[in-house]
Amino acid sequence: MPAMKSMMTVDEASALIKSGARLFVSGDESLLAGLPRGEWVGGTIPYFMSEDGGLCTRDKVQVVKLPDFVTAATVKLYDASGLARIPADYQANGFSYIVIPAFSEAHQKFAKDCSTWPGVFDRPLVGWIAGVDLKDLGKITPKVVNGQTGEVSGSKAAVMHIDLAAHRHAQANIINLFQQGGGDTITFPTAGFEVTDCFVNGQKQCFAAYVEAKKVNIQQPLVANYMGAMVNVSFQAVDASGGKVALYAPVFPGVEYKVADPVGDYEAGFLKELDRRPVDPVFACNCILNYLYAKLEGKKTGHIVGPMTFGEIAYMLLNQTLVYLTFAEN
Amino acid sequence: MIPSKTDPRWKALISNAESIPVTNLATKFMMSRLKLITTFENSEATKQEAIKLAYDFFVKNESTVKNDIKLIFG
Repeated sequence: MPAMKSMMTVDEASALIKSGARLFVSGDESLLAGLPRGEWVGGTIPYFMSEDGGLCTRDKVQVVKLPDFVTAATVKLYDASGLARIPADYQANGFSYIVIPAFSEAHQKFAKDCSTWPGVFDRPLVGWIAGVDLKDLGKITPKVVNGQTGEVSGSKAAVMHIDLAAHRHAQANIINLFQQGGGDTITFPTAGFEVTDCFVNGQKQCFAAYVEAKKVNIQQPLVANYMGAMVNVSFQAVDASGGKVALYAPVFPGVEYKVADPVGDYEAGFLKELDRRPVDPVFACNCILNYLYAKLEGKKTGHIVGPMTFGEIAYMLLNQTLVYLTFAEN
Repeated sequence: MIPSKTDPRWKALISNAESIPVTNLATKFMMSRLKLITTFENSEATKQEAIKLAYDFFVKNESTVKNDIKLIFG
């Protein structure tokens, strides 16, 4: 039997939901609104990596069907003040899938605080930040949907807590083509998405002035080394006259950052990485910035499909990174 | 095998986390958290807090991060 195509019409996705399948669904808000209640959780985004390559569409949703060895799935919505309770709701042998509306307080709170929540690393937590067509920025807001209740939210995080049969476990991982460059070591005195001051090799400077003076290519993120895992923080905008730099994820004091080396051919680099570690994810997502900067429309990232998002989550908020989830035998 | 929280290898882990080439993403992020906690305050109480965090993580994830546990504790 051929593998299920990830891109579906509303009718096709509705039929799957009515069959009792447990699904992750991503797509335009109007399409998600047309789906029946059932065992699904959704978020808005019109950008996808499909089996036919990258595309932007409001005509189809992208669907992940969870396997039969999923034994239970419960969807809960959390407001910003309740996010820290997510790890307490982790299933005994499961993983949790989270979608958060971009620009919401929940988005900010998750990004800044999640690594401090007790137990957050105890089960795989993967997901993404919901977005909108870039042409609609400021006009409509990203949303998440609890398919079990029909609740739609532009402010809360939607989490599906999933339990697995005893013989399987889930694994979260990332593919990040960016590496730390060989340049200056940059640290920040405070945590945040918006930065004024920084320390460059220990010397205090205005970060915006540093970026301007060094002619930093802001398509290349800041990269921190988390025990061998490269974690990106992407540039949103540099306001040299105002002395501010806006970022797509927070920087943290005590973490050393370097501007990334450039990635030449993203598509080729991605294939090389997949050759090195062959994986067959049940779920993956990648970054809208990779889609834009690497001009991925019509191009493939190997066999990996999934939404191209406003932020990726593997325990923490990531940028310009592919997040994927696989299953393994116990 | 995960040693008791009083085993001296826990303090060695807190001090030398970056020298251990762990492979699991959750272990990497958890150990980065340990480093951050102890970077800002290297008191005995903070070290014990970090050891508890690491101990609880490895106990709850013993089967899925067994390779990392072996790397750290032998």
